[in-house]
Amino acid sequence: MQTLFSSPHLNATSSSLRQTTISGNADESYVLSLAALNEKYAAMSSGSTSTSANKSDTCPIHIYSKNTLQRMQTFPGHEVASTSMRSISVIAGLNGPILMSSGKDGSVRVWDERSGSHGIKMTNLGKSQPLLAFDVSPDGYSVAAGTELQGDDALVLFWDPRQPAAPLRSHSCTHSDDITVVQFAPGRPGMLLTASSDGLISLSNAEEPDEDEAVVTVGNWGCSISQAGWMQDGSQIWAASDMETFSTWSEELDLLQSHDIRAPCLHSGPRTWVTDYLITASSSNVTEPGRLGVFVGSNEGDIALLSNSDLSTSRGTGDWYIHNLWTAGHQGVVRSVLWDEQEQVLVTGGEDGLINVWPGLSPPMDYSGLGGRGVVHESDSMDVDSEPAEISSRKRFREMDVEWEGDDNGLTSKESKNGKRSKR
Amino acid sequence: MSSKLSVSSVRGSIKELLAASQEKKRNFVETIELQIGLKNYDPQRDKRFSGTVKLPHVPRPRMSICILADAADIDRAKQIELEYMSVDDLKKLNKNKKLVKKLAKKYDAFLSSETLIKQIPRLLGPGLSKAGKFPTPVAHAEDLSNKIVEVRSTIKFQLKKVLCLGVAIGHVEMTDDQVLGNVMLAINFLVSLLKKNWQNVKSLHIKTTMGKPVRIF
Repeated sequence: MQTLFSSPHLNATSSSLRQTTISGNADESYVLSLAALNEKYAAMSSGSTSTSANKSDTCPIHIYSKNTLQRMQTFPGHEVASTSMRSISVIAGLNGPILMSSGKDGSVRVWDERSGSHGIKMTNLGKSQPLLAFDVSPDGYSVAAGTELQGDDALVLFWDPRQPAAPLRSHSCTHSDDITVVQFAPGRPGMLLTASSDGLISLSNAEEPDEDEAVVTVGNWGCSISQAGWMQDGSQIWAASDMETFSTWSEELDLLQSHDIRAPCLHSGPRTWVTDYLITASSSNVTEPGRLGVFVGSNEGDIALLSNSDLSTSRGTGDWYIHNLWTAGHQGVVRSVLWDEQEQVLVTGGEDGLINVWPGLSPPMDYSGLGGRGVVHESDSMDVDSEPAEISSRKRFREMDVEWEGDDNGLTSKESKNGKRSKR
Repeated sequence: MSSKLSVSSVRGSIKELLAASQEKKRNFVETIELQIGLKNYDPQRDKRFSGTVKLPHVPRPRMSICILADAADIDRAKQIELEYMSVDDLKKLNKNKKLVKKLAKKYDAFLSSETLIKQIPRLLGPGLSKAGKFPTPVAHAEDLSNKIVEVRSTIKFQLKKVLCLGVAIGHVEMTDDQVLGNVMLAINFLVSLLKKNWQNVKSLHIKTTMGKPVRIF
């Protein structure tokens, strides 16, 4: 066991601002993924249980209004299963945010809100090797996706979205098992990060036609990798495994640190926290600028936001801090969190089929000062709403800080309703 | 998390298993496999159940390992009679796909000097990655024998589309205490990764390669 330090502004919320359920009648869909669009959120459903469902079932993607969480639209999703979804800023010359998804039907689709159907569908001719992850290059002119292992091959497929019927090329030698992560490097054009159940994390050249020459660097973690992404500086990398371990890697893919994310526990003071699983990590400024936020969950459905004071050196002696707790909103494993920087709210979805929108975060930690947060807001000053929202949310935090030490249930729920009203 | 298993009853099952294997000796060392059946788990949409776990006693002592070594590690490898390949040996393969594939097939696992590991994709191409045998890095500061024990002690588990999986956790030449240590550690670790813990476990069996499965849960 490792100590989890309580941030000086540890904030706990036990009631969400808004909640809705993704399930229709008597189906028990999970919310697998969330994404933010203009004024809307997208939620990817798992479909109902694989045993009861008939084979032609799809995993629909539902669109909700940010303000009301009313369902506005439903895209059919993918046959068999939808596997990943994200909001893309530019694709094939179209400016976003645009919703895209990949699926076990072997396609990557660009969804068109006006037609309610896919606008572009990238396929591998007649083949339908299940896709697990995809990404779009920063310029919007290349799309990469990773497949499940089928026979001896796990492929990385590359498309030009303007010619979606067949991939331009494929790399078949990068991994030896299901490819779970595909991400273009933010500052290095053509450089692709992939990770897989085979335990490898690789950087390869997406534009290299000869696959024997494509792989540039490989890191071997030795355990099945479920997620990975870039840290704030855009060169270091974080990764998470299926066995709830969390690691950081240098630009050259040297393993810097590896943690059991279930180890840091909070047992002192009025709160306790024990992690069961990692939900995801976020390099947007959720805790403070320049620090990776790590969202973790409990099997009961509670969510915590952690950070570590030092993830980017190989010393690994940094302390873990807990910044926020969002409790009692889910009953079951939380599968997806989305930090909506614009609205300063956290959106969560879980295996209970619920989507919750939560009030944001505690103020930044003392030593970074309020200045950091101000800078963040200036950068998206186009948003007319942001200033009053910021004020009301600060007020809410202050009141809650006092309150959570006492009885939080009745009070916090009343409080966050006030918060919601003052924001409207 | 409280264990649902009584250690003494598992020990009894292991003794039974080892006795049965003694009775009918095979002309190879039988492996002992732990088989886990899950319930209330949907492989289509629940989180993946896969990973690696390091066991307290080496379950696969005969696992063949080769180190892709720099000069310092060649000396260390020679001292403990570990097979090695130098940079020049690797260059001789000339990135030839067939030769790299042959190398991958020859060993169960590879280590590589930390100083060398970044050159592996350039020296050998992606052949070792494709074979699922990309080397584990080893630093000069690490003890090479310990590293080999670690690699031989680490087992991989992965649930695919069916609700059962088997992992090799030992062999019949181990003592019952050693088998017990490995079985208990593997079970407790695997159960800790399930969202409903023991409520996701339908059955547990142990079995030698040629023997009958013995149910322990």
